[in-house]
Amino acid sequence: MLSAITLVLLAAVLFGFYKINRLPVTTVIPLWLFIIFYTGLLFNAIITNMEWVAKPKTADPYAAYFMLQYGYLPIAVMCLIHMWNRSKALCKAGVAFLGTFILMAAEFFISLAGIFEYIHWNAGYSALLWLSVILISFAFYRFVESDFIKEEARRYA
Amino acid sequence: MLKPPQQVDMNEWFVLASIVLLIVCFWIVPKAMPRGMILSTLLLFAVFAFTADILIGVDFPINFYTITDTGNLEALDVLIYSINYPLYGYFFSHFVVKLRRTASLLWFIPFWSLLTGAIEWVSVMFNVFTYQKGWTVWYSMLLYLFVFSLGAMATKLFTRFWTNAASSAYAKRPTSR
Repeated sequence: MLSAITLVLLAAVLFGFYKINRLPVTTVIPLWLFIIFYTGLLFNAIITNMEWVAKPKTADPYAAYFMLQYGYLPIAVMCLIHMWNRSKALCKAGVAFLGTFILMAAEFFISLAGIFEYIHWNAGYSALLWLSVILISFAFYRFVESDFIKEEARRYA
Repeated sequence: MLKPPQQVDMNEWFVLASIVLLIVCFWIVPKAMPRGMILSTLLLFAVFAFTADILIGVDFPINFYTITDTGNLEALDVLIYSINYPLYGYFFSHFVVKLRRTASLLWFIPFWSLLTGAIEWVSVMFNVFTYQKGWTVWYSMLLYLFVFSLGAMATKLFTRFWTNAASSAYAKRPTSR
């Protein structure tokens, strides 16, 4: 049931993102894959090595967890990048902190839904995790948009 | 956060040697794609490998094999995910781009899956992978057929996206009179 709801909502979120997205597909693809890979390593280390969070051991919440990590999280970070692009210099830091707060709140509600379980976890770790995910994603976005990547592609025209 | 290897033995040396070999090959082979597409291809195969491992190589849902010494995420595992799998996948995509006819993929994907299975068999000899619960290299090859078919489709899509992006960038370039 949980995974079915998550899937239906994901379809709606994907459609919404498709409508509002201004980033070119050649930016969205590497960014999406980077967020999945980087957060996958991070979450896996937290779950299996540190054992601070327990991941679901039944199919329904596991599928929901999978969709959250592979679908919702990259979309959320890319929406923040949209906001970051449209903000003035001083507000850019605000976007990172606002994003951290939103992701912390989302994480809290997801834990209430039983998709994962806290073992040794607190709000400080959560803030650090999401702030690092957001900042590293912003840095990667700047790299993908840099001349080193974009200008060179024109030679292939 | 990342566990160091329990002891540096032959699996660590095998992985390090393969990393050096792959990086040298990557350096030597002329690039057939723009940098953005290379980056996306590397990340795609990193995600494929990581996803396959967390689906069938950890405690839940199924645990058919262990990578390196333990089931935990070791520093060497991160190197494998970040360098070995992406570079090996990149070479697959390189040949997919080079193959002129899409029909050639009908023999190339099974060939590459067999080759990957053979490399995996060697890595099992070096204890990089330890099979459990009846898993064999033949099951891996079946999985590779699926993964490389997806990889070939993604490479074809990427080629179209990056060609379109380059063409529109070329059309918008400033002209001098």
